[in-house]
Amino acid sequence: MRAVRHKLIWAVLLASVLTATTQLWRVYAIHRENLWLSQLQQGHEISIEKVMAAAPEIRLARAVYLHNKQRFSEALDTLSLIVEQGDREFQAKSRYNLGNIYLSQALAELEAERINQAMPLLMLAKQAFRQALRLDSGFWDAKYNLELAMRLLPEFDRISQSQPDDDAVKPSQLWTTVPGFPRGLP
Amino acid sequence: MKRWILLCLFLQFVSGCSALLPSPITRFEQQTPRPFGYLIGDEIQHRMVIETRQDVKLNLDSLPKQGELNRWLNLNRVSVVTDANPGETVVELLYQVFYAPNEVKMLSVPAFTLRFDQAGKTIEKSVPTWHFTLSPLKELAVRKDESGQDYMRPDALPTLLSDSKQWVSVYASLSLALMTGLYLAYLYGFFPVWPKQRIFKHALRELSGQSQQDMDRGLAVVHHAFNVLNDQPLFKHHLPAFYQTHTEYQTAAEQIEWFFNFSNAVLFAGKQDVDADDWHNLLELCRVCREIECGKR
Repeated sequence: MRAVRHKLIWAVLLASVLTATTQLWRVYAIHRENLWLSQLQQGHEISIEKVMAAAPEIRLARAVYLHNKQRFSEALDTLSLIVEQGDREFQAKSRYNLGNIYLSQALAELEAERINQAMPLLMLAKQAFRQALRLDSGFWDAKYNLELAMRLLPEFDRISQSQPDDDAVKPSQLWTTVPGFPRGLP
Repeated sequence: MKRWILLCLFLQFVSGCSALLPSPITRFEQQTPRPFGYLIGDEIQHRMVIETRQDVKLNLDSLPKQGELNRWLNLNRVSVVTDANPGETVVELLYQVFYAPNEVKMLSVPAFTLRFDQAGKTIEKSVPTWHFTLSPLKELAVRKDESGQDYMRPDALPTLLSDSKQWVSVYASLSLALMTGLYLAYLYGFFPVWPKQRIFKHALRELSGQSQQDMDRGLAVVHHAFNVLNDQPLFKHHLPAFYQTHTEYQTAAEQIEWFFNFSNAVLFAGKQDVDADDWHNLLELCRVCREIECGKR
């Protein structure tokens, strides 16, 4: 019994030293990943190899970097890997950023007067913003950008049978949605 | 004529009695938040407190289904809590609105009808339409940023990773390592303030510096170690009492017995023919006792 207890004490000592070492390594890794985050936020790219094994936050930061550099498809690819990861707050952020990429692309298409290309992008943007708001209803930036996307691509269903929507009185023969914002308004 | 009068009186009596029966739904309270000042994406919580007779049960199928109710209204959560107090049911509905108005606009959460089952019968209770106003978040005019693009809110940046949990683990595991390390150091006799943990450590060190020719000195060293451990001189006939106070040494009883017999033979009976095996046995006894001292045995 004493021998078992003695071995147990040694085992506890070894386990605690091993745990401390592992956690110290994790602290170092977090410190390193925070440096990468800072680099990406300052507009410096980091190699894809570093991103591969890093925390999802690094991928999110890299997607922001790629979006800022107008590398939309790469940003979408990066975000598509992490939309299901992390807690609710993180998922709300990744979905919001996904919506922002679609919205930026749609704005670029509208600027080039390619309305047909912009419409599906706006729909995807709205969907992503809605998902972000379902995860965090207090996400102000998502509210703002969703409203922007909905102004660009309004939806014309009636609110209720007895109370017609303002927009619903407008005739719409071919499209249930009309792209673009009426820019002539004040 | 008389019969008709009696029949009328009977019917009046029966209808009077039925008014005395309690209503199946004794309380229905719809608790709603403020009906104004909402923005796109906001959540609206409705709560209904319903008290019924004990035999009346709410039909859960009559509640609105979770999900999209219409293009702009979602029902995110439906929860029904039946209180331990029988007959009270609390229904909570969490709506979320996705409408982008151009100006302050009145909208409404649609009405629905709750159904209750009572002995095969169905009782209905309508929940009325709830009106509220929604305001726009952005201006009607198209706002441009510095680059001439439509203004939109920027991407959300990830927060820096926190290492506080890891530091807690580091401190906890290092504290545990320190405590177990100190305890092991105590067991191994590294602290001079606990000399009882160092008795056989010293004896073994002293024996290591001697040889078979110094058998008398070796026996004296081991005797001294046992005497210090026992707090008084230890003789063979004291061994049963010694094992009672130092039970851990019971495992080496055979070797200790040999030691006392051998010691008596050499020191008092004049035994001269000691060989290498005897010296080895003495060293082995000392080593075993050291292991017991450290808690290894």
